[in-house]
Amino acid sequence: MDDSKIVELYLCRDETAVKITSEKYGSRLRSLAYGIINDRQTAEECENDTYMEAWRTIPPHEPKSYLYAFLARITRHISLNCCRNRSRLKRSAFIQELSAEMEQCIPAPDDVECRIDDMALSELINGFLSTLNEEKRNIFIRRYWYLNSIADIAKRFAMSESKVKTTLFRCRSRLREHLIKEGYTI
Amino acid sequence: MRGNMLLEKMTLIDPAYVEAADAILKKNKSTRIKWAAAAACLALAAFAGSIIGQTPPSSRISIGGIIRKYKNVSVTENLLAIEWPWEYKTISEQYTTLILDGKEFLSGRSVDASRIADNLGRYDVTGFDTYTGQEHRMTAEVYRIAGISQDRLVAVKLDGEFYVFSRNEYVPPKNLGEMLDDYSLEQNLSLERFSECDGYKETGFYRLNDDAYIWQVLNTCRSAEFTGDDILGEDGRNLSFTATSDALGIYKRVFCVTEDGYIKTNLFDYAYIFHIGSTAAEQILSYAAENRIEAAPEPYMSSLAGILTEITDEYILVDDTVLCADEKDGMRFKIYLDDLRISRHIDFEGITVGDVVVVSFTGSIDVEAGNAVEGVYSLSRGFLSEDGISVPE
Repeated sequence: MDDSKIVELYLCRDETAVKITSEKYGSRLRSLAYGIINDRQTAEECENDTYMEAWRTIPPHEPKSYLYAFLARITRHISLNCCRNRSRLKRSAFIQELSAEMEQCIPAPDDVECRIDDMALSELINGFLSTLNEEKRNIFIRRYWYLNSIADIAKRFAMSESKVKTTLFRCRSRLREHLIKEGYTI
Repeated sequence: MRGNMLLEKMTLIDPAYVEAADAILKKNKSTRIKWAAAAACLALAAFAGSIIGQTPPSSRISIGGIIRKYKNVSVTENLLAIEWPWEYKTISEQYTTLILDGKEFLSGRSVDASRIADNLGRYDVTGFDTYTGQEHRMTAEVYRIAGISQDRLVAVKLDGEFYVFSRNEYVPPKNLGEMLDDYSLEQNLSLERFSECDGYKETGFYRLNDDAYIWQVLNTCRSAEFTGDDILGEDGRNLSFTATSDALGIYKRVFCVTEDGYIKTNLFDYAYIFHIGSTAAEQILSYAAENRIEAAPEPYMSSLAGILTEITDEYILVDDTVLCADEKDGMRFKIYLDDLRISRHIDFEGITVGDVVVVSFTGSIDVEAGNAVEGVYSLSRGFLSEDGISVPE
């Protein structure tokens, strides 16, 4: 079933929407969660929580043309929260390291609440991504959206780990330059 | 804003970009192969693998041959995303690219001088300093490696040492015979250590005294066609040979023979699969079953962890008391700093006394030399938690 029909089912409050979503995207969502939290049982919990959240948020959202990305964003958010809240998963160091890498992109990191709204930040990040070629953009997204390990990215893109690290380093530097050039202090 | 918030805000990335980054890629290097035996999936083997999942209150594990009695701890170690400044890179990390006859070759492991054959001439090798954006270039002697096609691998002399440079393009051999010939595989690879597997599950670890018969069978299958690199699903019964070769510049990769008649290998970065037929495969499996000798599992590498207690000009000391079930059992391990791959973690990354560290090594521990750890190639900072130690990626 195509995504717009699945979303219609959600909008009609038809519970088969969840079953069909699970059949179509369950394994990808579970795999995304597992990549972040590295625990099969918790990954399944995250997948199920994703369906609940989708049920709760469609409507008002109507992600007919981007259902997977919509669901994956929920899974990512839930999985990240799991990493932070469940010490038994032992993923705090991994998240800390990714955060440290992200911090290198921020011109003047501080603890003050974010001074830029989501819409402006979205334009900024997507504007930056549009300047990258497809491969670099995908590597950046695999690392900081899908939270993949360097080794996994290297395998996925058939390149050495050192090339992945170099690419990410350059992307972070370019994002930082982009932020400075656009005059944003975030 | 701090890094954790920006990481959270990555959800603002355009859904189209997110979808595109999740598309399945073709021609991945070994991506979908779950190498059951010796491969990288055992990257944490000796330390993490031995500890994770052990029941409290303590576990006996072997660290480089020394038995330690540790508390129930878990260690996860992954690679740090550090791009080293130019001066902190090893020579083969600095000069990574060679163009020879219009073909690109990339740097790899060092190779012993005894493997070097004809001099192919002097060529430019290049590297890139990401910190300054500067390209570096130098001229180096390039050599053929004995018995190996210069279309596949060559050796480059950098700072007096030879390094294997391998062809970067995806150019699979037409058939098994071409792979055997291009790399003189029979001469350069030993097929004497293997694990027996049922699908992905390893059911035993063995060695053979002689692999001549296996090569004999493989040589009868020289016309076995290359069938692709796209491996999905489990393989039924199969033998996974551990593939390490100085001449080929490879360390603990996999050469797998499946009962349904396939050779699957990641020897040369990409997954190569050849169909040799079930009769030939059965000959190899039967020979291995009849001649195998039980062997201990061979970890991909070993690790030890503890608190960094001392840094001298020559070495660092790592104390594992914090992991011990009984604090009185704590030991200190000596790690020499004469390898840039280790010293740069102290000099540049700033790992210092009091930090939790994880040390990865391929050698053993010389007790008589003050528990000196041999073959150390990586040092990582870790974090202590109530559950043990974890190392950030």
